[in-house]
Amino acid sequence: MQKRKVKKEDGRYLIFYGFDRPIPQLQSGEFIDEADETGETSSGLKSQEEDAGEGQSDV
Amino acid sequence: MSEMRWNPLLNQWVVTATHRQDRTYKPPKEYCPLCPTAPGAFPTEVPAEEYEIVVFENRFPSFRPDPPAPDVEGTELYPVRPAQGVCEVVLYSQDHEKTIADLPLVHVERLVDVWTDRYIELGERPEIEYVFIFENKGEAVGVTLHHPHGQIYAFPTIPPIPARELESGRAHRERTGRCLMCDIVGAELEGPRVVWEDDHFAAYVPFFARYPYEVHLASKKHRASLADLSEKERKSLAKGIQSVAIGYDGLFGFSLPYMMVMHQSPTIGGTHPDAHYHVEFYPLHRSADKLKYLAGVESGAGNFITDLQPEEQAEAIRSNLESK
Repeated sequence: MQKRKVKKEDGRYLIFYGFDRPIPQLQSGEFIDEADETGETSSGLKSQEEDAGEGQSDV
Repeated sequence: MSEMRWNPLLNQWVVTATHRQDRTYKPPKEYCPLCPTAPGAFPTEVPAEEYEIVVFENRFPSFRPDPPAPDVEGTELYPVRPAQGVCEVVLYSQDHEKTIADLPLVHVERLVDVWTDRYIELGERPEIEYVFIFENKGEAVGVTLHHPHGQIYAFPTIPPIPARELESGRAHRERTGRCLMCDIVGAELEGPRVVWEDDHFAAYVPFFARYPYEVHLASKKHRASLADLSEKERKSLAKGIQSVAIGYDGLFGFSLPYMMVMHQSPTIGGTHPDAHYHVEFYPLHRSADKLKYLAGVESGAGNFITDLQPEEQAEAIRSNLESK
């Protein structure tokens, strides 16, 4: 299991979990962390944060 | 703004989250904010053209990691505290139309792995006492986005219903020396209300079912949380969750709305011997065109009145699964 975390423009985080396919490329911004392929929980959000575009939800 | 206000009558916190009133409501499919962002299209929550499973912080959270100070002053009678915590959204699939019943089983297994990861990571935060994983599915339960997704509330307190279950478990253990949920699972496995089971998990309409077609899916062995499940047990859990969803969808000829909630060990320090991991499903349909409403007796007295025998409900779900 791959796991990569990015930071959205409004400060919220977003985490991609990948299994069959590589973690997708972002349409804005770049990942700065190395992919976590261990499946273990990551720690330290700041080291994995990167601006990743905007978005809206209403959940 | 959001804050927690104490209800001394019921001995529990109430969360006021006024900003959630501004949520957008049932957008058309082409403007789904939970789909991947297509090239040149409007940006959704996910800034990528494809994804498998995604988790992000809710844009309209009831709890925040750095909450504002409460709008009102607390008193001895009415304590107030900041609504500190985390609210996440879990996107099950990039496919707008898929439900847990439709997804490949291996994808549901991966979803269980993601839930486990979130339980562990959020539970490690010192301010979090309880990681509550749930899904509201379908308009009947108030869903405003149809894309397959669930949510996670990482609470700064143990919520009332899990707390009451733990207290019931403590009293049972003091009286009998045994785990309450272990005894319930054992009793259900010998009865007529089992709808699905394998070596590790069992799904049953409980003896005391409150909602129509309510199902509980519990670990056969005493496991406190997702973090305590083996790989085989996590796969079994995925199979059980999907089986319940498939059984539901055969009841009335449409994808059945439900609430799905997970009860497990608090993440506040110390041991919780009375926590026994299980999933509870609460549909609201008592027939194809009639809903169960939580009306006066349920909401004001706290007693559920059910229209259906739990044994008959179990038979209906079980026969759907057997015909698959």
